[in-house]
Amino acid sequence: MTWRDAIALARRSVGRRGGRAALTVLAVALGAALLSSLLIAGDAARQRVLDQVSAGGPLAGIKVEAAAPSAVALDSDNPPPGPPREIDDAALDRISKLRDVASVVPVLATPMLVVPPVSLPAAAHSTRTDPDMMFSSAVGVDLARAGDVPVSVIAGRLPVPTSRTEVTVTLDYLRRVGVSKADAGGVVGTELRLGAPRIEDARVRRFRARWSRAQIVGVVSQELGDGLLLVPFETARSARTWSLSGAAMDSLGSRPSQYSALFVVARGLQRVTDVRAEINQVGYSTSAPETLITQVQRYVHVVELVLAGIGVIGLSIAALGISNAMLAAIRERRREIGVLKAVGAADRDVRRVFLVEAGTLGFVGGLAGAMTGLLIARLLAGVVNRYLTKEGLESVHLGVPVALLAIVVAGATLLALGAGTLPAIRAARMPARQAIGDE
Amino acid sequence: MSTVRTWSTTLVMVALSACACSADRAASGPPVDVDANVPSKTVLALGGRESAGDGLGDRLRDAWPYRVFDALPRPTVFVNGARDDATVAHALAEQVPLARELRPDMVEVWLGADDVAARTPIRAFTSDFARLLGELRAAGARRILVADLPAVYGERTARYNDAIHRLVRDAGVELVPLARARIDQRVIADAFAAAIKSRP
Repeated sequence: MTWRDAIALARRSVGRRGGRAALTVLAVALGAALLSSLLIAGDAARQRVLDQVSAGGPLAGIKVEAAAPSAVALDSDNPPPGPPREIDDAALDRISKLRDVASVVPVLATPMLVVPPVSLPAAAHSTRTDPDMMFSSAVGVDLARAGDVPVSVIAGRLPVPTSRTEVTVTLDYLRRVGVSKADAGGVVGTELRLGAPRIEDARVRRFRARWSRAQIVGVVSQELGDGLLLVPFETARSARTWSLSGAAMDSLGSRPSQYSALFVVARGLQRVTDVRAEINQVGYSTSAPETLITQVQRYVHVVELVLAGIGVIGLSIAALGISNAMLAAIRERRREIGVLKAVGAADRDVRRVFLVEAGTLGFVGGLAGAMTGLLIARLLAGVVNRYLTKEGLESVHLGVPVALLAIVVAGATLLALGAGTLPAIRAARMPARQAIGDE
Repeated sequence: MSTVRTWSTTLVMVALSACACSADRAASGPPVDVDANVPSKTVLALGGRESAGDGLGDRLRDAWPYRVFDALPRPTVFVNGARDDATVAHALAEQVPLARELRPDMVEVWLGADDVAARTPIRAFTSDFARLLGELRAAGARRILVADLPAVYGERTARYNDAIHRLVRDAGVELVPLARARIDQRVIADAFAAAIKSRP
């Protein structure tokens, strides 16, 4: 008997007992849906929690301050920095070449005058009318590498990395213009006037600003530096060049360091401590939430194991259903088995027919269950996101976890094959005469 | 019957897969600014008390240079070089260096009111103004807009305006007519904006 014959026989058998097959598939699908939805939700929750802890940046991220390391530099995640120290291209180069450094993103903070629009859109529900000009900082970073820095988009999007007319504002800006986090989307699309200040006469603190206008395209939470704005690096650099061309920048809260900070990503969380020590050796203070992230990861892993366990129990119950259905099928098909054997089918041929049937039920059920699980996870994410948005928090994003879904489908198929093995062996070992005689 | 069942099962599976795998919510936010990557044009304003916005409650929003700036395309860099009580001679010494530094594409000039008040001799006024326009041209300014003075500054204004009109003609720069206007930041801004828009 060929595989083709076995598949045709299995298909006919499933077709003849459509109700039972449908129920068996449904049981497998429910188990697989439970497993996949729990795994997807667990994975998304883990990602969200770690994003929150690492402020949206990579887990192995390290912030390098424009300051020398203090005596207790490695005693905590966030040690107090030592005296100021300039970060220049040479320092950037040295840090980039450290053994376990995967990437280095320069950060440039520059003083900035921000003139908000006279009135904000109704959607912003601002508690202030006609907000005043604000003096703060703009933080510039290469936004093409936004994935390597601790930035979370709360509303809208990030600016185009090369744009000079798009900016994002921080939660501090929202607070200053009287807008709650929940209404963050209301400021997106409004225009700001940005002035890079330059001191013209230090004696009377007279300054002149170089003005530009930019559209707010998003609201972010970021841990790169204090300021109202996150802007493309070139926007910050050109503003800073103007500011530094004046006098006495210290009085505007800015040092002439080429970069105000660096954001370093180590090759794995376990390398963070070593990289921090090496950067301290180069002469700069560092901070990284490595201890917190490690602890959170440990707890989240336990939760994931529990969720996966619940899903596997569900799938196992479904497998018992398959086993039961197959045993019932054997009882009903004794005559068919006997005829097969009488016309020369070997034990392995009979076994193959039943295993193909079990595998098919497991595969179809697993596939339907995986897709249903993804759908359930998305529906849940929608509900959770509505709550998160209401609370002004970044929402959860679910992709299509192809590998995870493939594992669930493969797992359901294997489990079904396992559950069908005993009935298949029993059918295969049944003597032809007994099968026909019993009938 | 079997074919119908097979097809309906397949359809259900496809529909389920399509729902489950439908793209995650696309990134929101406004569309990318069409001018996002357009090189910025630099605009410089030179002037005296009215141009600096001294005495206004919110000079960064209400003074005419800022109003004009708001009417220009977004990728514009703007510096207001105006200072209180700036005569043309003062502007030549204190504001024109900014033009040399910035090399602006366009310069808006509204000077003379403080010369009227300071009774600057017409000859000196004309000579300094001519030098100022020459310096702006030398700094690479492709458009120079010069406003004359509203008559409300007094009887002597006409003589200064005559000088300004002559200088505008000789230097081939653009005149922003304010002689019949009242001193109102919005009116002045509208006059400059109209002059800017009169040429592409």
